[in-house]
Parts: sequence; C-alpha cells; structure tokens
Amino acid sequence: MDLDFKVLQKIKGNPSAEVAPNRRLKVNPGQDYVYDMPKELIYNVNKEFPLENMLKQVTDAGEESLSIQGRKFMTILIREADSERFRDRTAEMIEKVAQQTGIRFPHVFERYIELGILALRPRDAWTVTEATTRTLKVRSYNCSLSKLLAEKGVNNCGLFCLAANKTAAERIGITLDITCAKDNMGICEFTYRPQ
Amino acid sequence: MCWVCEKYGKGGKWYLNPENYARRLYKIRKEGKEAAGADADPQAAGMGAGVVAELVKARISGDREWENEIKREALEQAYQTHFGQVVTLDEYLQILDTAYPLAKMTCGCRRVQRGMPDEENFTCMGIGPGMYKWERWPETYRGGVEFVTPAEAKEWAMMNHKEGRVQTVDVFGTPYIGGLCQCEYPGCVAVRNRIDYDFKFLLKGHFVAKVDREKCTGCKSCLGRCQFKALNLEVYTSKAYIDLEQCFGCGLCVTACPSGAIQLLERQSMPGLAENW
Repeated sequence: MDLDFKVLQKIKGNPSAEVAPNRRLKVNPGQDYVYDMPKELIYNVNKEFPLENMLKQVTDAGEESLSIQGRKFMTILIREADSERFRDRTAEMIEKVAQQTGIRFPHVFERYIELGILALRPRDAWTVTEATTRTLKVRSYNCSLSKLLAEKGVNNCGLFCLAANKTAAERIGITLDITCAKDNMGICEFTYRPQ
Repeated sequence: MCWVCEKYGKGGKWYLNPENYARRLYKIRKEGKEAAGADADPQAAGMGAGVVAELVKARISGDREWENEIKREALEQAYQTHFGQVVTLDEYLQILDTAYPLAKMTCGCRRVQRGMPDEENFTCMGIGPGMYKWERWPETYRGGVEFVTPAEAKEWAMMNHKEGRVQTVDVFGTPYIGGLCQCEYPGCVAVRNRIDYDFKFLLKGHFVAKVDREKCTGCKSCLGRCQFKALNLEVYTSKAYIDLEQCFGCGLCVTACPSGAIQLLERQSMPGLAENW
C-alpha cells in the first residue's frame, strides 16, 4: 500500500462537512420529475431530419455530404433536446453538477451522443463502456444506420457520426480527440478524449 | 483472482475495470408508473438485512441445514444484484478516477443501526450515471447529496480512512458498481452480517495484512482499527498478531502503524488463503 501512517496524519477535516458552501442538494418533498427520453423528441427530430431524405442526399451527393448531414442532425437534436419541452430532470442535474464541479466531460457531451443514437436508431443495441473525466467510450452493435448506408453503397458511415460528435463537442466548448474502431463482427466503438 | 474478477475483470481486478462503472444515461421513456420513477430502490436489497431475521430463527433452532439453505438462496440472488467487496485505500482512490459522477451521501446502515443524524453521516458515496437521478429515491437520499470532484472525493476518502472506516465497492445489478461505502462494525449491515453470521454479501479483499515482528513495537495503535476481529496483541510477546484467515485486507491497520510494521500481501500469493473470499 502506497499510503502510510505519515500521509494519513496530515489529513484533517470532517468527512460529513460540506466541501463548499451550498454544494449540498436536498430532496424537494412532493416534487415529481420526469426522466428519460420522450418518444415525442424522436418524432420531432425525425420530422425535421427524415432518414430517407438523408439517405437520398448522401446517395446523390456522395460520401462527402455525410459530414454535412451529421452536423445538421446534431444541430437539430441539440435544439430539441435542450428545449423546455424535452429537457428532462437528468439534463437539469447533469448541468447542475457540471456547474458545481466545473467538470463538463463526459456527461454534458455524452447526453447529446446518447440522445442522438436513440433519436436516429432507437431499436439498436449499444452501450457505454467507459465514462470517466478523461475518456468516454460508446459501443454500438450492428448499427442500423451503417447497414442502410452500406445498402446504398456508402461505406464510410463514420463521417456522419464524427461530424455529429464534433458538433456536440463544439456546443459544450470542448475539443476532443475522437477515434472510431470497427470490426467485422458489427461492433463499432467511438472513443472520446478531451485534448 | 476472485470469481467476480474471473467473470468481469478482463484480466485484472473487476473493480478497477472501467466497464463496471459505465452505464447509459438515457433510455426511451416508458409510460405509466415507471415513467414517474418507480424503479426499485437501489438500497432495497440491503446486504442481507431482508433475510437476517429468518437466519436468526434458523440459528436459534440449531438447524444448520435450514441456515445454510437461507444463505445459499439469498446469496444466489445477491451475487446477481447487490453485494460488496473490501478494497484498500489505494484502490479506492484509483476508483475515484474511474467512476463519475461522485456524490457524497448519507449511510443508510449507520442511520438505522446507530441512529446517526444525517448531517453527521455523509460517509457513503453514490457513483456513476444513476446519481443524476438520485431524487427518484427520496428515502435513500433523504439527507441530500453532495456532488464532488475526484480530488475532493479523494480528500474525503482519506478522512474516512483516517477515522477507521472499511472501504468497499457495492454492486447494484452485477457487475455495475454504483456505490462506494465506508463503514464499520457493527453499524455496517454488510460487515456485521459477514462477521456475525458468515453471510458472504461482503467479499474479502484481494489482500491480507501481515505483521513484521521485528518492527512491531507493541504500541497497540492498530488494535482498535480492525473491524473484522482479526487483530490481537500476542500476550507472550506484546506484539500485534493478525489472524490471516479472518483478515479482510482493508489496510486500516497498515496506515495506523507508526513504525510501518504491517504490510499488505496479495491474497493469491498464499495458497491457503487464495480461495478464502
């Protein structure tokens, strides 16, 4: 064990004391909150960003347009997700914690990424495999968007996600190193690290 | 390696694997009761508290088979849902860089067992994305929560260690680790149920403590720190003695020793203890 008697002797303080004034949050008795992503948010985003239109535009204009579409999609998603109508209690708490601690990565960013996946491919299997203040990893299995694009002869699907991810990072004012690892078993994992 | 490491450690200790702290923030909202947050209370399983009354009955009756049956069934469920393992302070500090967010909260065990007032009882930590939804369980979090940075959490963890609390990781839906406890016997339900009833909701840690008899001065600083009845003073020599079978490897004795006479060794390095979790 690296820590020893001498180190511990220097530690002072009461663990139950508040670390900073007004940091402690209290329960609001009788207050009900809503959580999770409402289906209406999916409908609204899809109305403004129909997948069929996107596929057609990408087929017509080539792979380069994937980036434009990715940015467009995330811009719409963020606007709707942050609107008063769709902002849930998780979003409020993520923001409150970020303000209190000064730490905005991973969750302020991750929220947009997750809502983006749910809005675009709600039936897909995906998970978060790492979420620390230094690294975020999101893994998708058999991405349905990738399949749809491949059917249209578009194989560089990562361009869409990369552009969408960068738009979300810009929104929260963080520059990220973003990498994407795909295998031939249908697993695609994005890794995000603040620079 | 313990069975949890073999299953969820990816070649290392399971509680140092970031995957076991990561979860999605969002799912699509369900209708009705679930939408209002009627999911199970994360602390409802209670580390065996729910079956201990029956266990006491079985023990008083002297029916060992009944007692073992209760334990077997309860543990089978617990290992899929809610159990804990002792970790060292060093490991605890590493975990505070692996999980986020981190929220100080009051300890439900100490509240119930010792009647601790909430304002003096911020010795537990809720971790991970579930903590953004803490208001769904007002009884569990009735003392409130306090979100902290990893640096603040480390300082706080060291204060707790200094005050003599055993540090553990706690699972909420195996292998997802959603809590870091810091508690002591007899306040802690998990520690007490393990010590008094050998109820293995709380697994031993990956280390055991060993005394260097040359260095031990017999000052007794370590004696009160052991929550597991593993530490004694040898009457013939006036030196500390650790029962390795009983040691949980928390390291509280190590940091209490002014002469550096106690060391932690890997449990796996001792054949007789390697499977003693």
